Amino acid sequence: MGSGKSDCDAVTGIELASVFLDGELDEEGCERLLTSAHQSAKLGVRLSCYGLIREVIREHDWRQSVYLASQRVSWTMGIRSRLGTCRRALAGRPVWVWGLLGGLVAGSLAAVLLLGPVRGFGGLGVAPTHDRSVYNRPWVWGRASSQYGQVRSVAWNAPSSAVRQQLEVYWMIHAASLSGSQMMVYPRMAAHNYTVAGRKQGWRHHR
Amino acid sequence: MAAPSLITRVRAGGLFLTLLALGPGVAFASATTGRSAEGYFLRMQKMLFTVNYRGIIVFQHNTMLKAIAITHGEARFGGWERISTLNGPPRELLKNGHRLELLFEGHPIRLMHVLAHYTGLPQNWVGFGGHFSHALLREYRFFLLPKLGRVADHSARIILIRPQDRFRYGYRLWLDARNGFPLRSDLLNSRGQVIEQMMFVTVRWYPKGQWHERPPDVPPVARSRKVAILIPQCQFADLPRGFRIVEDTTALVPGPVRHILLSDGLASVSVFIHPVRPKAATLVGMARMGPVTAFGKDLGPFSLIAIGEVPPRTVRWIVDQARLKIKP
Repeated sequence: MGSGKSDCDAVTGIELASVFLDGELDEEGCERLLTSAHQSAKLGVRLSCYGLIREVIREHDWRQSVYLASQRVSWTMGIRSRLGTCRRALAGRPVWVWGLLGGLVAGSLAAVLLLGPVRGFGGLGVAPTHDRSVYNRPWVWGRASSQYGQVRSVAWNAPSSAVRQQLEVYWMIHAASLSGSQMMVYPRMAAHNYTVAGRKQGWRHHR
Repeated sequence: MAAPSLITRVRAGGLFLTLLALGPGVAFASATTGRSAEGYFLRMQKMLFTVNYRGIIVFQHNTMLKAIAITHGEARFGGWERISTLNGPPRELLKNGHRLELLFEGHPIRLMHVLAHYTGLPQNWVGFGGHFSHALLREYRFFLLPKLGRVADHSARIILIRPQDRFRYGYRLWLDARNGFPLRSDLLNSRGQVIEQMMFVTVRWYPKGQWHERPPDVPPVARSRKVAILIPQCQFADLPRGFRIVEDTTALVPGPVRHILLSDGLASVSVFIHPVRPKAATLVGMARMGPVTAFGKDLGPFSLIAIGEVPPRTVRWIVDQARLKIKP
C-alpha cells in the first residue's frame, strides 16, 4: 500500500469523479465511500479519505447524518493519533514536566465545569429552569442549557411532503408579512421556495 | 487611530472574530464623510424606500446558486416589485403593495391562492424597519470598515453588523459609497462564517422623471370577514433579548391560524398557532432550510411552529416560552 493520498485516490477516485461530474452524491454513494475508507488499513489513509469525503459531503450538502458520522469517526482517530504523538514526545521527560501538564489539564477541566453555566455550556449540578422532557433524549446533548445548547449526533431526514408544504406556506407568510421593509426579503423568497418547484431537497427535519 | 489599521490587515475570514475581540462600543466613522456605520445603515434603509431600480442579483447558499432579475418601483405600502429567476425552474414573484403572487412557469401557484386568503398582511413597520431604531444598538454592534470595496462596478462602503449574543445572525453589507444602496449582503453565523450571500451584479437607479415601468397587475387579495377566531391568545414568558411582538393577526391558511411576528429590528421570527388536526401531519422538533429554521411543538390541542432566519436555539427558545390562554 502506498501513500495515504494515493490509496485514497484509488479507493474513491471513480466515485469522486462521478460526484464532481454529476454534481450529485446519493446516500448509497456516501455509504460506499465510508465503507471503502474504513476498510483501508493505515490510519493516514483513512484520515485522508475521511477528509476528502467530508469535503465532498460538505460541498454537496448531502445527508447530514453521514457527514456527522464521518466527522465523528475522523475526530476520534485524530485524537488517538495526537495522543500517540504526545506520548512519544514526553517519553523520558522529567517529572515536573508531567506535573505541569497535569496541572494545566486539571485546571482547564475545573474551569470548564465551574464556569460552564456562566457561558451557557451547562455545568455540574445545575438544574434546568424549564421542562426538559422534550429535549432530554439520547440524541440531544446538553445539560442545564439544553434548551439553547448544541444538538449533537442528530439524525436528519427529510420531512414528509405535507409538513414541508406547511413550512413553505408559513415561510411565505412570514416573508410576506415583512412587507419589503426587510432588505431583499423577496429575492430570498424566490430563491428558497423549493416545494413549488417540485424538488425534494430543502427542509431538513429533526426527528 | 490604531484599531482601523489593525482591521485592514485582517483577512476577511478572520475579520469577524477579530472584531468580536475588540469589545463592545467600537464603531468607526468614515474619514472622508464623517458618517458612522449607523449613519450608513440609516441611509440604506431610506434609500430602499425612495428609489426605483432595476438589477440582477446572484444568490448563493451552499451549492445553490441563483440569478434573479429584480425591478422595484417606489410606491405606497413598500412599493412594487417584479422578481424572476434566471436559472433553474422559471418563477416570477409579483408584488404590488400588499398584493403578492408567485408564478411558476407562467401559472399562479396554489400556494399563493392559499396566501390570498390571508387577511392580515400588515403595514410597513414605520419606526421599525423603515427607520433606524436605537434599540438595535443594544442587540448589535455596527462597524464601518475603513477599506472601500467594489461591487457591480460601484465603489462600496462595507459595514459589519455583529450580534451581541448567539440568538441572531450577523450581516456584512456593501453599500454604494455615493447613495447608500445595498449592493451586497452576507449573512454570518456566530462564528463569523458566511452562510448566505446575495450580490447585485448589475444595478441601475432611475430618477422619477426617467422611470417608465408600470407596476405588475396582481389580483386583489380575496378578503374574508368570516375568519373564526378560534385560536387562543399567546404570551411569551421570556424572549431572547430585544425581541418583541410587532404583529399579531389571525388568518385562514386555509384553516384558522394565529400569526405572531416577533423581531428585534433586524432578525424576525413568526410563530404560527393552529389546532392539531388528527390526520394532518405537523412539525414536531427542528427543521431547517438553509439559514431558515423552524421548530414545532404541540401544546394541548394546538400546535406551535416558529420560523425565521435565526439560529435554531432562538426558535426553540421562543416556542418553549409560549403560553396559550386556553379557556376551560
